[in-house]
Amino acid sequence: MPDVLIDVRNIRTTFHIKEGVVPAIEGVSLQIGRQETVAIVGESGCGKSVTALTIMRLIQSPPGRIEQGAVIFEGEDLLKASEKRMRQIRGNDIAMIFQEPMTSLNPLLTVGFQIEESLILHQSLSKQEAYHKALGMLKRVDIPAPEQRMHEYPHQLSGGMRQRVMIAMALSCSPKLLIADEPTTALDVTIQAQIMILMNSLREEMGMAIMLITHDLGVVANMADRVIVMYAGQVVEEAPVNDLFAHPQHPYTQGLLLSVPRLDARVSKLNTISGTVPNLLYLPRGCRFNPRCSYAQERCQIESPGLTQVNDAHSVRCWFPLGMMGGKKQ
Amino acid sequence: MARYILNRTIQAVLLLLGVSIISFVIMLLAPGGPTDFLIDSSMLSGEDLAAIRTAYGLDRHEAVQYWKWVSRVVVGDFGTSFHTGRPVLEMIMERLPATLALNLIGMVFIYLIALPTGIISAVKQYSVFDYTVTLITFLGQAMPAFWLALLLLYYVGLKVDLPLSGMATYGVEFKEVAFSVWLLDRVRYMVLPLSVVVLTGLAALTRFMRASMLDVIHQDYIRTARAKGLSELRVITRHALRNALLPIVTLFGLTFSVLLSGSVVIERIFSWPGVGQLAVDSILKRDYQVVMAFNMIGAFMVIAGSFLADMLYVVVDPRIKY
Amino acid sequence: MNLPIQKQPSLTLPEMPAEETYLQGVWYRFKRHKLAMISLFFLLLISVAAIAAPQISRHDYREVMPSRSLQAPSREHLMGTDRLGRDVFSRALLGGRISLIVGFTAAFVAVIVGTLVGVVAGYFGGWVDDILMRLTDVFMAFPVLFLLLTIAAVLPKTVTNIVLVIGLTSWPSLARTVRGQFLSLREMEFVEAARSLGVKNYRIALSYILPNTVAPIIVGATLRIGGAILAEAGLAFIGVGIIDPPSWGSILDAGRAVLRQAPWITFFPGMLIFITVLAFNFVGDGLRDALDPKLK
Repeated sequence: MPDVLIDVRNIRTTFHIKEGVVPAIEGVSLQIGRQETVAIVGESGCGKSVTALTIMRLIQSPPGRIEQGAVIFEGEDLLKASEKRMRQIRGNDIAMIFQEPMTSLNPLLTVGFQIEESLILHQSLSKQEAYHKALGMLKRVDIPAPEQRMHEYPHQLSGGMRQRVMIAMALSCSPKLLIADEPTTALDVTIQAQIMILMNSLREEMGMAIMLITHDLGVVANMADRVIVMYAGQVVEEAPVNDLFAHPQHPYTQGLLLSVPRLDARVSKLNTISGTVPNLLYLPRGCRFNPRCSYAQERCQIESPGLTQVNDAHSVRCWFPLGMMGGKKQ
Repeated sequence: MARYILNRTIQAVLLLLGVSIISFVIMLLAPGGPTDFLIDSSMLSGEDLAAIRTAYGLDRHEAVQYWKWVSRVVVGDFGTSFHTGRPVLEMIMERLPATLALNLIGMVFIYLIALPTGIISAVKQYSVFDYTVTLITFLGQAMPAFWLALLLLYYVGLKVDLPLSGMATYGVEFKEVAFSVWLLDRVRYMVLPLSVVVLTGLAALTRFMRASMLDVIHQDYIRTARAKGLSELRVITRHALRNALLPIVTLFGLTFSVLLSGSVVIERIFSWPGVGQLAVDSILKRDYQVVMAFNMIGAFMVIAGSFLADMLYVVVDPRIKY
Repeated sequence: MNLPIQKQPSLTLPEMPAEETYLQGVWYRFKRHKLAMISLFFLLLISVAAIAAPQISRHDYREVMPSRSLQAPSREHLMGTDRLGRDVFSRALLGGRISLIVGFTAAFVAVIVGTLVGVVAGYFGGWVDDILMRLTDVFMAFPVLFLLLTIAAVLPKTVTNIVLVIGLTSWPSLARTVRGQFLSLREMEFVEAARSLGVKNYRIALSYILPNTVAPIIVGATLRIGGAILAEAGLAFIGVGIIDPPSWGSILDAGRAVLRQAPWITFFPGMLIFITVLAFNFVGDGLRDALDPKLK
């Protein structure tokens, strides 16, 4: 990766609740290059969203706390930046869209106002200029009758339309990085595809990088350049998309891939990963995945593995990666 | 919209009918009647009593009494009091200003103090300020108004030179003395009762406001606003505040009737010449006509309050259309 | 195993506790609410004192001693004496009995009526719901204080009557809460499943939905005990409360006339009402946190 846009180094974010300290993410490192799309996948509760919110420094505190690490964005450590500096970056250099378009827009403010707001703030546009730019953004995200929509309230729009508004809002200041936190999970399947296609074309057009948080592996295959798999607050595997799909090294990644229903495979029964994500307060000893892993050995229950390189671009957190054992242990 | 208002009006009429029947029945079930409480009723002969009963229609069938009452109320006539012989409405109207003055001013203070306190408490959740406010509101909600009133009376009223009962010094009238003299007089009389109204009313509204604001702060759209890079002040004032104030509109409607009945106990302690005292006296003396009038006016205010809240909603919330 | 073990301090967390029952979880969470625990302890103490009132107090609450009229609190009379020379402490102990009985039973009445109305309206919906909710509206439209006063004034001042009056005027908001819960739970998958298996209506309402509305009902009941104690005191203060044996409110009311000479007669009963209501509110708050772990 020649030109790194954002370099996340070894971050740890915890939540301090009555029951104790929950390490939501632990030693997470990742890099995203300019104009690259990186997908972060994993079950819910694995720390994907917390990673995104840590980058944005939007962790609610209390109870949340970013305890260590660095987020180097264009040479600047965001975790050390002042709150004022962070506000300049949020919405301008790094923008974010969220999972729930139904609740992510303010119900009492017009669509136009909510888009114009960032433009006036970050680009010092006049009200008039902001209106025209916002209208232009609505057109770019293919919203029909944009002039009329500008004056409407979120409840007057469908879920898909609202997510388009969110995208228009996020991209209005031409950010260098767009963090999309499960942007299509709450939408109908047909709308999902439209939104993904829209995001992809806007990415090419505007030349930004996308950090795509999802658990939809179909989306990953179509959109992402690289994939980062997270489990229980840690990165467990990282690889270019084709490599990962062809040669998953971590048993968890393999489980995720096998749990996707395929039309071309003659499988009578859908594979699932048995068990559930561990409670982060009571993590198992050793490898965090060992209680659910069908290949777990004694060592897995005692020592926790570090990330090791499989090749230049592929790394995995496992004592016994599948590749080394032949990869066909099904 | 017109259709909605019509529906609401019909509902309101039915509700008022329900309330009137219930209060009428309660009064009928009461052992003893209003004549028992007339001064020196023992001195009256059986014939005299019968004559009085006839004069007030108490000898008629209950349904007839009720019907006559309803048909008069429809045209705004609540009848005359058994005890004073004066029109009920007149008796209520002459006492209304005192009660409204106390409760309206009280309400203004309560909202002015409780809303900002609740908002700041929510925004600074887990801070010392928040813990303090939460604790004080808990204390406030458990505080019996009459006890607080008596404490103030004893520890403040008797130590500082403040009048302890009534609402004005005799002869200090608006037209007859300098404005400043008049104002100071009224303020001195109002300090203690108003303090009780405000102090006992603060807790519930502060808690409500805090809860509402907390709820809004954790909404997704607030995270969106922060992700845009807006300052925390703008996030709170521009994005959170209006949303958090919405439920307050409903609460305002629901508690609208305290303007009338919020100060009954306080009026009694400070001999405040308001409607609350009149209501209690009339109830104790079985002065049916007055009691019925109070129940009807009270119910009307409850219904009007909720109607007012619903109408306000149309203004403040774009999602609501009737 | 001699392999170097990677030390990760954050991982040395307590072991997952053994499967706990729901009630154990509730108790565990309740215990963490310190004010609620203190309040619970206080309420137990005051209940015992109220039950054992005649054994604890040195004087009969009716014992008139004109020579000891309006004495300030002393070792003999912990809360002083009233105008008739009666021991305020003994009266307050017995008053606690009345106030607590009224509080518990009135809350009980309100919960029974409110739950019943809410369950029936919420489960059956349709016209049943319409009628019951309109009825609830009528009760809500009544200015509660006037209604309380009206009924209390026309009935003999017995404990039963006061309990019924307070209980029957404080159920509507609870009925609405329960109905709301029912309406949403009715559509849940587990209820649908039960219905498709042919479980009878009343059984669905009682064994599938009701247990899930228990938390708001219990919290509502606790808060209503305090509310009822306050309401009774208010009635007594206006002159329509329970006088013999006295409740806290009526002791306080009697002391009002001699406030200047003997402030202790109003101070102590008022304090008891205040602290007791406060304690019930804290316990209610603790229960709310404990019963519904989602609300953290």
